[in-house]
Amino acid sequence: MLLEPLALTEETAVARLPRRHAETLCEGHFPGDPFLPAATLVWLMAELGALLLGRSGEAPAAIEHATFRQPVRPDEPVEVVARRLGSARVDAEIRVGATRRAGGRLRFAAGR
Amino acid sequence: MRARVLPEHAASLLRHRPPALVLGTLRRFDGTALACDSRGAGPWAWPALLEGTAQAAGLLAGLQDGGPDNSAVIAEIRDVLVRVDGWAGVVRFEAILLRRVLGFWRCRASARGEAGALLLEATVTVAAPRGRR
Repeated sequence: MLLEPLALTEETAVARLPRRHAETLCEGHFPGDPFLPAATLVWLMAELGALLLGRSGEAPAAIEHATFRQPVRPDEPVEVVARRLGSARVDAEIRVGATRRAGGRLRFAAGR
Repeated sequence: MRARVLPEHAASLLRHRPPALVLGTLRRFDGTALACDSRGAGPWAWPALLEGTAQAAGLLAGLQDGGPDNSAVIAEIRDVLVRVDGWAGVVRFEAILLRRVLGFWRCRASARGEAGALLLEATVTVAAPRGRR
């Protein structure tokens, strides 16, 4: 996992994205104007959501919705926050400082 | 829709560059739908499949009359069904325009394997850059 966990409780997980990884994830997106792709932000939210649910490395079954408010630049301090919604769903967001840049709701396969 | 000559490769219309560029050869465009093969045969993890659907939606929006230029961004992704963790092989990305509202273009996009197997599908809303919506 690229994220470095900062806090993990039964209900909430918080992690940071190291800058070196952020720069790698922006390669080709875009030359001279780098920011993290929307799909990558979803992936980061899914990674932390899976960790919170005790399902590290598992892909989500569905992304119910995800919105992207502002670009996330690789030189910014990126944090990911996930909150449990039952056994298989999480709400997650990408934050830079006090600003929510993206957020979404993800669902993992039921029956675990 | 004006008739237009399309380039063969998506890279000439998108500002993505490798390794972020997922789309390769543009196979079909009929005004409100397109199909595009992946750039290479992967292997593709599910986020790359999602990124490919986003690029297909962005490309389709950009090909519309009055569509955004290649500085468009993804405003929303919803109703995503992830059917595989990953895939090895060429992927066919398809996008259909659902609706346009002001500076937003909503598309349903999918990623399929060589035998047509559905790998991932998503509804992607593409937005013109802020200030041009």
